[in-house]
Amino acid sequence: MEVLKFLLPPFVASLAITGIHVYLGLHVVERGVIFVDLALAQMAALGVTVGFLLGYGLHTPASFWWSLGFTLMGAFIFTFTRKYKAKIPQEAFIGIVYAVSAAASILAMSQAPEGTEHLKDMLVGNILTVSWSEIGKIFLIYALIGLFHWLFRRNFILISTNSQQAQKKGISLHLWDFLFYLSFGLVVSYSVSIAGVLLVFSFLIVPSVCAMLFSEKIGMRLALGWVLSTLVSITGIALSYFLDLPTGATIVCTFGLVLILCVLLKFAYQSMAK
Amino acid sequence: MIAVGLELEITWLPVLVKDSRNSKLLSSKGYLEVASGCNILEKPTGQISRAAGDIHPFGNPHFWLDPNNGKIMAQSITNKLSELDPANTNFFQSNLDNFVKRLAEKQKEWENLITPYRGTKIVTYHNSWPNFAKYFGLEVIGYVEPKPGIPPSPSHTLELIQLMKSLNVKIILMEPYFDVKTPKSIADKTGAKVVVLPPSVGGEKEISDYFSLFDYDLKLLIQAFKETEVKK
Repeated sequence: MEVLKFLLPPFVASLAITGIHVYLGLHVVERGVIFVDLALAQMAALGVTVGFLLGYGLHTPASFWWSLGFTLMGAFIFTFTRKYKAKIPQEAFIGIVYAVSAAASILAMSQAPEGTEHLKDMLVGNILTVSWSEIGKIFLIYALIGLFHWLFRRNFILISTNSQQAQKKGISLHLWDFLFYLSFGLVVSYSVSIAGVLLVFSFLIVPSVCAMLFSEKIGMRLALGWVLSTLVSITGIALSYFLDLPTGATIVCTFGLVLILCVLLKFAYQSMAK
Repeated sequence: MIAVGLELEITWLPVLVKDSRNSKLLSSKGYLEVASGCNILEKPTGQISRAAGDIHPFGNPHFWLDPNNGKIMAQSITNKLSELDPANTNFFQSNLDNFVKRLAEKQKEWENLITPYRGTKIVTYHNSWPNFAKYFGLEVIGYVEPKPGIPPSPSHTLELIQLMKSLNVKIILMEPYFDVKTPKSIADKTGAKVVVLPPSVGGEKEISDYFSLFDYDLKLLIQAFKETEVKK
């Protein structure tokens, strides 16, 4: 029982992360901006770093405002780099934002005595040590953002899947893109602080990709993604306990295996259909 | 050039020394590793592999946290200086005598401070405090992150929590440069207190020399012992 009590918080945290990330992941994959979470998370981390240098300790409210400010900046950049018929793909700008903000974090941290350790913590995270109060906080924030997306689901889905039609309908692409990246950045900066960049990336991308293999409908994809992501969380946490392995990395690798299984399944299904 | 040795600086110092193109440093004459002659703990026996994480094949390199080793290090430095500048041997020797005398006084003071708490069981973040623990009579019963650089597994963390509860361990010792999140969460679950101790001179403004390092660390540690009312 002690074991279950101990593993319950990381599991509940994975569920909360699953809820919003699978949904946002569908958008991200549809838009073809796969690495935008890394870039926004890196911007958020840069904000934390700059705040840290100016004397605002990690995990303090002030540090959060710094990270939010930088996330806002990132959202702004991505809104205006989305050229609808441009030669330069947006992925290029995402890569640039990622590299430059990562490099800027290194520059900033070189001014602090214990730089490398903090940089590492931002990337790796430890979902095992998440506390109930943190879970409560992310749950509330994810729920609010989820509600916001639910209320304006038509606009959000249309700008992600068919921006030309959205424009025709008179929906402001800049406004809704900005709102999308802002809410996305908010979610990601919270989840990265709990679970680390690698794990958040997996929760975001793998379930959506798997679901897209099997369905065209957004509702169905969402349901498939949620089920898959929940199963992977349970399996990953259990494996890490029984095999005595670091939890975050085990969940990420489980996601990798599940994707391979899904691809094989799809392949088998197609060859049977022929 | 004075280095700690035992491969503590292996990832950066050799490159730095080589790229300095300073022939005085490159010769063994101008380079001193103070580890030699010190009482080194945990020299590994048997197979060494990367699987154990970031380990030190020549023994635990945090030996300067034992004041007895401080005396040996001072002796090595004096010898090296006298070798390089024989004309000033007497000056170096009298400095050493002063240091040793002051250290002996301080050691008495520190030992008096810690006596009531000898035998107290503690947990440390990494295995980086064995010399400190041995000298001051503390018993390290486990580590938050046993393989440096690899996040601890759930089963390890759970075992540690259970062990801390059953042995009534109330202190988790860590360096200021690690993230406090994991130790803090273990402390919350066991009613323990996380004590952040700088391991080296310069770690805090007040820690200006070898003596104030132990003054500072012992002050914090004993304060934490009092707060948690540990019993041996």
